[in-house]
Amino acid sequence: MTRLSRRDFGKLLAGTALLGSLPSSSFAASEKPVQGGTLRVVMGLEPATQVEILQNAGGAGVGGRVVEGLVTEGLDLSIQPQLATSWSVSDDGLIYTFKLREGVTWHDGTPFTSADVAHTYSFLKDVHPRRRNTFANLVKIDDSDPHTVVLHFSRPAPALLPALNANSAPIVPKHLYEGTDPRTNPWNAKPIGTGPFVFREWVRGSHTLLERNPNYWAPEQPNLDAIIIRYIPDAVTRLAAFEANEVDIGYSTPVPIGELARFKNNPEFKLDTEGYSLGGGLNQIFFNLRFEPFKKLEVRQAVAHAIDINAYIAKVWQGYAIPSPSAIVPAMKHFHDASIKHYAYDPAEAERLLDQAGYPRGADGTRFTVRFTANPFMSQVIDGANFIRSALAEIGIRAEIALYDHPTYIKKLYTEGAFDLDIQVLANGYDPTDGIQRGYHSGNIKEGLAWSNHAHYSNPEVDRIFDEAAYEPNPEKRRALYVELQQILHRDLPAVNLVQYQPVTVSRAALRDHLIDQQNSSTSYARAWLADGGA
Amino acid sequence: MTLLSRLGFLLLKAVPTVFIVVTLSFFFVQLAPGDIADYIAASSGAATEEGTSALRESLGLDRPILEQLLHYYGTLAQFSLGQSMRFDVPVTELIAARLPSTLLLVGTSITLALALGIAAGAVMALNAGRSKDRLLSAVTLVLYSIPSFWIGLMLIIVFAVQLGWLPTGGAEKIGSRASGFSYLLERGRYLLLPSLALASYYIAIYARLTRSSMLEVIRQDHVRTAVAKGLNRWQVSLRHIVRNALIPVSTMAGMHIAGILGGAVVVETVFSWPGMGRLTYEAINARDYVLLLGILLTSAFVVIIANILVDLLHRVLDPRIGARA
Repeated sequence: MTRLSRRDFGKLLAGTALLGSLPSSSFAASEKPVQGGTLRVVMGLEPATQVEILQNAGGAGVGGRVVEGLVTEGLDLSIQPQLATSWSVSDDGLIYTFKLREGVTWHDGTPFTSADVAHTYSFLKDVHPRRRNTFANLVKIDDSDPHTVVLHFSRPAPALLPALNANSAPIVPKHLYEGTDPRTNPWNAKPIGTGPFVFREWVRGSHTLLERNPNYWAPEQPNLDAIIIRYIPDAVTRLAAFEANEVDIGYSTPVPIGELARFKNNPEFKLDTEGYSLGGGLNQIFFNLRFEPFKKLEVRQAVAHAIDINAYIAKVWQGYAIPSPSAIVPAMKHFHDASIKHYAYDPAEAERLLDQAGYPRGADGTRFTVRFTANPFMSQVIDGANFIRSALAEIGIRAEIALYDHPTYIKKLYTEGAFDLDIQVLANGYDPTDGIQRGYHSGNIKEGLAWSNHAHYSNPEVDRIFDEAAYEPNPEKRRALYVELQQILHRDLPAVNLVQYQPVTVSRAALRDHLIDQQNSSTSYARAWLADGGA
Repeated sequence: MTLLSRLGFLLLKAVPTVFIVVTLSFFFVQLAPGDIADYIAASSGAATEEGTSALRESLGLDRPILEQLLHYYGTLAQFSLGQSMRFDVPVTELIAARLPSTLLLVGTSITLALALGIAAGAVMALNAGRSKDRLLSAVTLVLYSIPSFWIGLMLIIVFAVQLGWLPTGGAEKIGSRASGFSYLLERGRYLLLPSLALASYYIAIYARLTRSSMLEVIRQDHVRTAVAKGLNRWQVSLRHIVRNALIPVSTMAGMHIAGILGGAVVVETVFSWPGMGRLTYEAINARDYVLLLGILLTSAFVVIIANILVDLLHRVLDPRIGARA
């Protein structure tokens, strides 16, 4: 009963806000948030557990709605406070001191303290595939003051802060995780957090239900009464759900990419491309450098010259991508080297290089045949494989596409090395040490390890730059190192970098203030509200 | 042989069946390249050597294959289906959450398929060669040849998107507090489209089957006798023709249950129906053989029980069957 009346009150408020601001042209800015309503989020992938302490899965669980990090990244990539209110770094880059927010309680009523942070980080270091790197040199966590956490590193950790958000390193309560195996802790499936919404239920295969946290630390937040996260695995059914007004928002291009145009021209919907900078989505082709013909640089250059990047963006990505000729995407603006350009689209030059390399066209016009694999994670990558196959056919290279499911793909590429060309979406992540190093550092040529250096690229100069930059506390020096790295990679060409693809968020226009940080599908919705009170 | 001893015999027969199902499935899963550690690495987009090998060790994947199989038999011997490797919860818990909605979907589909199929088949047989027969023949041919996922998508576009009468997917209204009749009505709204999509192919089969077996029965002596006795048209049709024609149909329906359970994967995906089909798909994708074997075992039991029920139904339809045995 109270819920209904609150929603009606909200509608009334919205009405007055609208009337009051009609004469002004900028009424959007003066709108007052409507209280109440249920937000319906659609996800394609259902997570195996609800908190991201074991992995960064494609499908977010409860995310920042229920669990929080020490900091969060604003849309401009600036680091902003969340559970930490302020922080400082020692001059040598070895000691990070975080002041924690006071008066915060877990959803079960227990006070949140520095012991929770210390306990979470110490087990993330062991179980999380990415935080193992982040915290590799973390030697001591000082939690003697309940509202201060001090992290002591043995080597500088310049990439630390962007890894401490709600998605990468969510803080979970020590009193529920202490003495348990975090991998099998039952609270992973019914998380207790400090966030603006409280976990209510997870019906596997169907949905997760969250309700408003009345004791949230930020005053007057959140606006919404509840959030339903629905898991709909089929993209066409998600499209139907949007059209039938059954969902309010979906992330990472939730509908088939060719259907985005319909939403673009519909005033009831909004398309957003912001909020994906930390993902660093990069689409590239790796060469297997162990075997002929791609052992030869000329052959790799020929492949680069055979690709018309503008046609590739238009046909494969329907325009939702920008060229990324370098290994560090433009979105990672602190490190991206904009001076690098794609190899010119020039099939004649490509043919000349192949002739020179000793691969003349045979009687049937084919120079040689290669095994071409594609990452099954996104359907556009498979479209991309078909595009590249045609482009290579033009210059006399026959590429035979082999499509596998996920585990087979990993086994074939990373254990058996059974490929010549591999079209990938190996993401940059939030920092070069997170997503790029693994693909090019010779120390990461590891048979059987997924996402390792499967091209078998080995250049001592590149290794040196990676090792130096990882611990370089000076931002300018760090950038200079990574610029040098990008130029070497562009010259050596262990991979042809194609595009930074642009994931799209589709939402109902009535949903406001949902886009406040770089967390996309893990965002907290702390300030989000529904102008029509929800459908 | 009494009914009870027959049931006992059938259940006894199920034990070697289950043993074969488990052993064969175990080896089939092993044939697929990659394992759960590869899958987790692939889906999370990150992996470390230590993490991957620790995972393999904790799940016993580093042991010889025969040892893993014996370990699984050991788990079964304790009347447990084990712990899912992907979800870290007991397999029985995952199956118990999904089985009811799949049984509901499959049960409704079979009922719909039988009711509509037999009705259409009877109309066709009684009007053989006439326009009604031709029209229904064409309709069944269409249903027979169109894949269920496409029918599902078309049903969604027409009834959920265009007309807005029914939901696009899901199994029930989330957070609904409806009870009693309105609850059933609400569930029915979610159930209708997926069960129609799943039933479509079988409607066609049962219609064709009913038609041909009725045409065969119509020519038999007992039907002529019944007409000669002076029974009216309806009594002859229902009691003497349809009832006899139902035996091949019910036999086929019993055999189809396994197929419908399999077909549920596609329909459950299109309608985001939280059932076993999708769980199976996830288990295969993740190479979670403990979960997969649990599902296969459960499905085998469902099929065995369904066949026992069909057996019993046959005795009702044709009392000679029980007597002969």
